[in-house]
Amino acid sequence: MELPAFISPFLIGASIIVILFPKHRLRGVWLVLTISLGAGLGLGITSSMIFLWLAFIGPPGSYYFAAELSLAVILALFAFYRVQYSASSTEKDSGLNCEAIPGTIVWLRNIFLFLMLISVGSFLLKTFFQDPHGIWDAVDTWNYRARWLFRGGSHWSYAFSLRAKDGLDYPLLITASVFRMWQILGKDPITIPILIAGIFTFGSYLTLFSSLALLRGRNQGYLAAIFLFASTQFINIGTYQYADVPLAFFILSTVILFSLKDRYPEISSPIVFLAGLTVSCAAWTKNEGQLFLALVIFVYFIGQLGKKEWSRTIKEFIGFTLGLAPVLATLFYFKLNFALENAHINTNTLKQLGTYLVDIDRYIIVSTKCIHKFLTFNDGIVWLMAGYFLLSGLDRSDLTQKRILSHTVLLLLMMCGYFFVYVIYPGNPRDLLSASLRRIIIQLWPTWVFLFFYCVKGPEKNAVILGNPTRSFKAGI
Amino acid sequence: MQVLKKNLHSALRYTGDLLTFNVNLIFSCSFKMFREKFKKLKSYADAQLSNYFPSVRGAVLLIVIPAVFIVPIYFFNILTEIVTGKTHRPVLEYEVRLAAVKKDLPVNAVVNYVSNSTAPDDLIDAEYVLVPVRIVKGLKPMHDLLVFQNFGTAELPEFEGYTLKTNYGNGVMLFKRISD
Repeated sequence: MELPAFISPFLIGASIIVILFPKHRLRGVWLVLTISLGAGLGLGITSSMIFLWLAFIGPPGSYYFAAELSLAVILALFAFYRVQYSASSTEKDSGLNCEAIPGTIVWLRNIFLFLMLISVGSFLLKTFFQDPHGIWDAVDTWNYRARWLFRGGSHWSYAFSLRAKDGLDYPLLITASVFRMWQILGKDPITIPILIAGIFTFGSYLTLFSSLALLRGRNQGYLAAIFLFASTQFINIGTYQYADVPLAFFILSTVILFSLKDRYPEISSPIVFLAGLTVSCAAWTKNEGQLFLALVIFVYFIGQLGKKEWSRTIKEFIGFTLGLAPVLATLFYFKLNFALENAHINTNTLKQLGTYLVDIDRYIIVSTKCIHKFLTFNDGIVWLMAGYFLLSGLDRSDLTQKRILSHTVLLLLMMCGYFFVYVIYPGNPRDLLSASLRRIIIQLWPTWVFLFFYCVKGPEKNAVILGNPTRSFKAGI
Repeated sequence: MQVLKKNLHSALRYTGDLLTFNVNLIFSCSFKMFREKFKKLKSYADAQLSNYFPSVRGAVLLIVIPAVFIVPIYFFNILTEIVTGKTHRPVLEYEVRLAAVKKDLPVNAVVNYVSNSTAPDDLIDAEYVLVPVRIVKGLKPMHDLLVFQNFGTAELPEFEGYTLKTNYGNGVMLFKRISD
């Protein structure tokens, strides 16, 4: 059985969330959020730990696993103590004014569960019977490297050799997670990368549902998740075992955490710490995550300097940096010692940067293709969004209105960043566009879905979320 | 003359303003008409839907109904592809084809690799399957062992400086370098 290999990442991730979130929150949708977010975070943290062990000490054996398990148990005990202590000492409070949140629409919940079941079936069919090793990038990069780390013995660093023309500097979250599980099991079953892909794919659905359930009510969460189920390209890329879905998971988690921070300013410090962790995991997953990291700092901290108190912003930034540091340090170490030059952005391409940047044809090619792809993405699913928006309208309540601007700016800047990567691509941008544009959209898709359903009116007629739910919150912190 | 010019100028300006006004009026009227028609249509649809879903916005169905069809269709598409064997996954085939030769290759050895496959991912799949053996595509530089994958050619190939060591019978052959 492969499942025991997942215990300590899950314990580490979930325990960190339980310790940092308010004491009384381990129930209902908070529990779903803790489980889904914790599983992804745990994989990020343990992949970083095992890579450092491999690089500094050598192939990890029983000492490493004892150390990792000890950390997991200690964190779990802390978390357990916190939950137990809070149950006996503090007033029970869901944090949200529950009376104001409309009741669950049962048929909507049933459809959500039905589609979840069908999607799990599709995922299992496609991964176990059709593409167990994944597609192209998984075979060429992620699982290939994991095989080298596991089977290579003392030659493990060949995984980062010049063999590949592309992906010489790709970060290691997926690769090291797969390697870690194989190392624990002592064999390399293909089930492991499949299960890791499943955790991130279905973790995204559950994180989307639970976050919207907290911020806008369960029905809105169900509806958003149903919409993401209908975006079958997302699950499809998930079954390919590409790193785009894990990256999408971390981008979504980060935006959700910042939304929760806006919603619950009393617990902003632990939330920004967690956001630091998710951002660093995004950077540790794919190079696009490093762009995301820079933009998060720019939008959520530098961009807020004039609007909020300096001391508060700096305090939040320190918390964020503390969360960021462990995994980001691993990424730096990897980039400085193992990663080779990026195939797209290197000294040669930088010399030609000026030429590409003033080439109007490139802008036309890239923008035309991007607009076309976006409008026809997943058989034109954006038109469903447009239809919903036209019919239901924007939720103009105070709770959501002020809090979406920075998230939207962040995603638009991400898209601009991707746009310029295509513009300055040293080869023919058409090639790169046709090879990657769909995956690039997938990276931001769940977050766009989250923002959309965060902004629009919910499924219920006459539903109102009343007041500021944070007022009785301090008792639980 | 100057008075005439002035009058003409003001008349033209008046006509221009009038034209702009008319265009704006037409646009605003048509926009208003469109909006009113849309409102009517929306309220009619809402009224119809309220009969069946009294507490839910009609827009919800715009998402739920397609999703209820799309997700199972996606499931059945995959099932059909698997049952009919429509999809061809070379990496699975390579795992089987190269299993025997893999056992005969020393760990971490560097071997030459030649294949007459035209598939674009032939080398990538072979490299993936044969880890931890390092593969050098082609015959140069020469290493002690050469793996050859034969897809469809009947005759046995010959490589200068190499002699056949093992023919695995499934198109995979292992050659060894002739010592000088």
